[in-house]
Amino acid sequence: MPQSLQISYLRKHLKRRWKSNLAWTAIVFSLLILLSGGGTLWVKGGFSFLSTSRIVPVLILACGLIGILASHVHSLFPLQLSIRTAPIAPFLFGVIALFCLDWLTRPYNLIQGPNIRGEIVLFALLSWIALSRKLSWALPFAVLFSLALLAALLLHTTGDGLLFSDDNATFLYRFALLKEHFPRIPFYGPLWNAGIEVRDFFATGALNVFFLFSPLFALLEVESAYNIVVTALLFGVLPLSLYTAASIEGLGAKGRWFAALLAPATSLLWYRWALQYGTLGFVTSATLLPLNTALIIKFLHPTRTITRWEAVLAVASITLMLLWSLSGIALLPLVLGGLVYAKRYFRKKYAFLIFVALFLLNLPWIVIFWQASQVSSFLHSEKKAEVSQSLLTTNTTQTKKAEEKKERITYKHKAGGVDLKKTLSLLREYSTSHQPLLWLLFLPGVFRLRRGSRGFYLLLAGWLLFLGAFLPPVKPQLELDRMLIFLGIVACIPAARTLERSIGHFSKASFFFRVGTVLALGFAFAGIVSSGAVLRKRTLVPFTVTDKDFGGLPQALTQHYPGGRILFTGFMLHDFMGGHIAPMAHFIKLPLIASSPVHNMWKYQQVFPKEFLSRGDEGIEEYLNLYNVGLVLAHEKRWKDKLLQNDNFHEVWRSRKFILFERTSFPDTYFLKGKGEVLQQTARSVTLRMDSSSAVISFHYLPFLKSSQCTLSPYSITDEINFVRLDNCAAGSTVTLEGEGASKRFFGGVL
Amino acid sequence: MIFSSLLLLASLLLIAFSPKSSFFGVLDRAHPTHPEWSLIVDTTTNAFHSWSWDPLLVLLLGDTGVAGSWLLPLVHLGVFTIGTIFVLRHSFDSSWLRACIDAALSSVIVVALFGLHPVILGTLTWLPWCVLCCRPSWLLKQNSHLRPAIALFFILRLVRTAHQLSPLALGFTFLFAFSQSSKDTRHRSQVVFLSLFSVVAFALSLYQSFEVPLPPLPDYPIYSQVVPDDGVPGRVSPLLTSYAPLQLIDRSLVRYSLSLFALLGLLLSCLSYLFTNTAGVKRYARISTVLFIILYFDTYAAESWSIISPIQTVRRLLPGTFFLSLSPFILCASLLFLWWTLLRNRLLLKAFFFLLLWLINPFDHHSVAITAGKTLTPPLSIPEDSLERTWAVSPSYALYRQNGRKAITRARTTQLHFHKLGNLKPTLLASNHNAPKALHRMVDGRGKTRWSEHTGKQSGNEWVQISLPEPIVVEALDLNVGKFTSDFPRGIRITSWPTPCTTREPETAQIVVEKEKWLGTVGFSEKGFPYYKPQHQVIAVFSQPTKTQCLLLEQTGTANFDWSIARLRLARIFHQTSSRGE
Repeated sequence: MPQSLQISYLRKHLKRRWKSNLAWTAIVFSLLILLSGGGTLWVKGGFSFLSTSRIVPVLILACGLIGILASHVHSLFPLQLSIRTAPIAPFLFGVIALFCLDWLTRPYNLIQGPNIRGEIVLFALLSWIALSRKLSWALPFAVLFSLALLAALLLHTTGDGLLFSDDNATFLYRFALLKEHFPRIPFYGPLWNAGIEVRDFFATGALNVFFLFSPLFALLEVESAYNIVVTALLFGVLPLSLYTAASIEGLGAKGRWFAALLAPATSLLWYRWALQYGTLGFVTSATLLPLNTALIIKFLHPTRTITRWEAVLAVASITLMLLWSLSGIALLPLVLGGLVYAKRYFRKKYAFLIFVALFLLNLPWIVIFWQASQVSSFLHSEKKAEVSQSLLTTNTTQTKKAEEKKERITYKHKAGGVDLKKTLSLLREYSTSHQPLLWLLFLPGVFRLRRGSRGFYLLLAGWLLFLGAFLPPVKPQLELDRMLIFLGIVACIPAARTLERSIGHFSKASFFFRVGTVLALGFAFAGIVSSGAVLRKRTLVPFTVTDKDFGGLPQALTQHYPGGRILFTGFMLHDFMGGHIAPMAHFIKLPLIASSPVHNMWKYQQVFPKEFLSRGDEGIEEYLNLYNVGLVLAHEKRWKDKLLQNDNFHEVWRSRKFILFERTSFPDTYFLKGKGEVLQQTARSVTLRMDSSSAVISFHYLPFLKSSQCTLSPYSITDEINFVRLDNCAAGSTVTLEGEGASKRFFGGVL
Repeated sequence: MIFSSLLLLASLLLIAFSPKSSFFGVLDRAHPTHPEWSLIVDTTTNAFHSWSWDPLLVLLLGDTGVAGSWLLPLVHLGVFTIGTIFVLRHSFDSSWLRACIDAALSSVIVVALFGLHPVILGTLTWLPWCVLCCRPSWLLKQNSHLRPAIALFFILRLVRTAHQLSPLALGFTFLFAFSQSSKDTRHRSQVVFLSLFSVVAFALSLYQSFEVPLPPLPDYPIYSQVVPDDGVPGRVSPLLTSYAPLQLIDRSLVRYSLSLFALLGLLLSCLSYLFTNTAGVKRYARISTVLFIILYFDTYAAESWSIISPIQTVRRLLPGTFFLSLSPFILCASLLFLWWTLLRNRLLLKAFFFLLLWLINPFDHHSVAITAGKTLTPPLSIPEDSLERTWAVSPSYALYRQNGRKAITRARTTQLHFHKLGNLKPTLLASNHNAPKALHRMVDGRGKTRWSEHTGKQSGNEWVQISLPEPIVVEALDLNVGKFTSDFPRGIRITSWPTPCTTREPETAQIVVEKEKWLGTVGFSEKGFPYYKPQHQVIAVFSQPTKTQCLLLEQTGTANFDWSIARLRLARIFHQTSSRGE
């Protein structure tokens, strides 16, 4: 080629690249404006840098898109486009811009400024040294050190205590029950509220954690294993899942390490769900999502084969993920992809085996879950919320009823339709609390994944974004905003790819590209430090850790137990060491009553039903006698004052929060009619001796309850309360009440 | 060489006759729970932390005191000097005599700047030895398994002597040692060995950092402070490591003392770097320049920028270092590097360097007192095992330095009783907003009404004059700001005259209160540790009970808030029989 032509070609190429970079920079800035809602330089109230006008990001976006099209059109007729990749440089420029904006000083940030900029700069400088000296060992060492540090910090924070805030307590209880009773679930649990159906293992995803860490649970007490499980999940399984997923996606060694590095610092909300709320089922599913995504995409690829270990891994991992049932919705685009490419898939070795194994492993529990947890009614419960709200506003005569309804079906998000304003606000909230690299470097990373993977990742990201940002008000009961956390975790793979490529070009790149690269690495490591701050309880994620003796309450209850049941007055939510009261039954093995042992109520709910409460002291006394309550625990001031003034209650113990009262007289029998004695109450059964042929006992009747010899039927006390009536019993015989087995209950004994 | 010898002699003479009030730069007391550790407070930066000398040297010499005893610090200095002789001989191929003189001069620089400061000396003691032993060319010599063991021994010594600063000292060691050898010739196994060696060394240093016991912080109430606020909104605290719930380091003093030094050092380093041709020396000059840039960033930039400087960031990240100020250590390292670059330079530069050192020594206590602008009665002579020693060797030291021991003792033993000024029927006059109704708001006894200039800022020239009908003895004034809590004076001066204001003479004027920067009223914790109460509690205690008929209150600071007075009260002092906290 003549020199003049070469120069002309080079000029043309450079011009096109320049145009493309400019256009992508416009896209990045429109994204920044959209997600930040206008920004000022460095600190809030500084020089206004990004416009707050709504039309500006749209205009920039449009210009950017036109620019991209213009820079990639080879011929107008017939139209030939070549947008194969998004250049990295504009996105790294976005990282620099983000560093200079007030973004880092906004509240609820994972990487909370302003002084975190120092850490970012320091890590960027160290990265620069490592990259320019080509210290290849530095990255794996830094990642392993970071993960070990975070794990050590969490274990140091928990010390001898137990992670207990919110649902951590409930999960602890569920694991204890599972360790004792699996696979005989669900069952009738008489230790709580005079008999309830213990079925939450399916809906909450407790099973996936239990299966994943079953060796640990088998070896150790649940209390000893719990902190280790959470630590291993957050800083072992998640990085490993992302590392493996990155490996399957074909990322190089550095890319895999970057994926593992980004894993523990995806967002502040991740730690809120994991540590503060303790929703371990969701956390486990989220942990396995990138691995399953990578595996499924590989299985649907036209040329890539399935290895034996991948088949085993896929069956185990997908099953574990699906055990938190909502995760199935997240995988929908991949399932649809599977349907489209079914022919291609089933041509592969192990494909059929995987399909069958997944089907057989998951169908039984899905059937049990669907029936036991009344999924279909739960899925439509938001309609009741809408109805009740409309009743509240239109019909004054029905206000009271509507209020009652509303109490039952209020969720975190208000029920309603798709609202763009809410969506944008949700997106801003989530993007602030996320590691910014995940959404800034996602797009160039996706374009640099395997050709077969790009579409799936874009589709999955779009779907999760739609679910998490648009649908929460439509189905508030599902708390779909969590899908944005899923998205953050999935985004680690493309972001890691971008980082891998950036450092690959580091030595030959321009100064600004290098600055952007090391700053991005600074952000990644600052994310680790920020996660450490969460674990040290120095952020807005206030998780609680209990001491060994749980404030002395279990010992006090055991010590002063006079027989009968123990009742918690008022509304027990997070009043027991910041967590739910559920595990108390496991700690003391005594029958208890509370408004609810778990978090299934979103509004104050008194333990005494209204029909009893409305009758004052007399009604309360009647209720306590009905349920054979011997000890009463008060934590709310009004109940403490009330019981202290009542001669029927005698204070026997008090702590900073609770006062324990013993009733001066109570029936001390569970038999309301007939004669007999309750010999034993365990987590899943009641054993009693019958001294008469029929009796009514103060245990709730549930349709799946069975007895070893008597005939069972409901005995109505009020509209809401049905006790167990036993007939046709042999006098003097010992009777055991327990729930039907799942096989008989759901499959007619076939399984 | 003759010039260097003369310089050494002159420096030693200067050190011997220097007017230093404390040669250790710290005040110490025994750690209440860890007998092998001492608690020290830096008399300049107000850093308060645990420290101990090298346990091996302590064992050999049978001495334990951190400050006070001369033997241990001198032995540490000796170890450092001998190590430096070897480093200089290796780096510059100097003769033994020359290396000895240069090393002695290096030690003189350290002593001239920091005295026998245990933190500086402790960190430096084994550093040259580690540099010598961690050089890859020495460490990787074939068929010598003893060398890594020796290197590890010195690293252990460094770690056990530099404590919290050991990761930083190790960083310097490796930077220094690795920069002296070529990387290209190394075999892969050697690289792996070096990497592993570095990792083990850093792991040891981190382990030691966690082993250092945290200093027991006094029982200060919430919102109390001991040093001037750094001006950054909120409180800068580390994300991972331990921290105190209040600011300990006197950043304003550190910045004020070091910024000029950092600037001059930076200029000198740049000059050395530009005008040096020798590769080895150029390397030192480069390190020195980088360190001075970092120091400059830390001390010269606005505090809101300084908090993201590498020094502050490292302070937040390394365990235990948040209780220390790293700036002096960085200054020491950068000066040593600078000095080594000057070793092969002209005499003039060397002389200039030493002159500079003596003229603007930032850590000389006399100059610190001048920069702080306060009475200089630091509690350096408080007997050990006394309760006052416990109070002084704490973050409260800053109060002793700023107010003087006498004032603190007086505040501890007295109780103020306030009377409404309005009862005395004073005549008030102010620099602005002089309507009688406005002035009356100062003495109406209500916290909701106030006098202020209503300019929305404090310019430093506001004043209020109180003229009393007859002379009375006044011991303190309460310039209560009521509900206007941002409107406290940023600086305050109160001048008294025994005559009516109409006949006041400059000769009879007596300045009874002068606070260039108002930090708050001195209060005492339940255990007796002095602290500053929130700044909006403006009780100005006179230097002594004063008979006065005319008082001039001047606001001398600047701020973007009004100066308001809501309730003016006079105080008399009731002398207590026992001091608080005892």
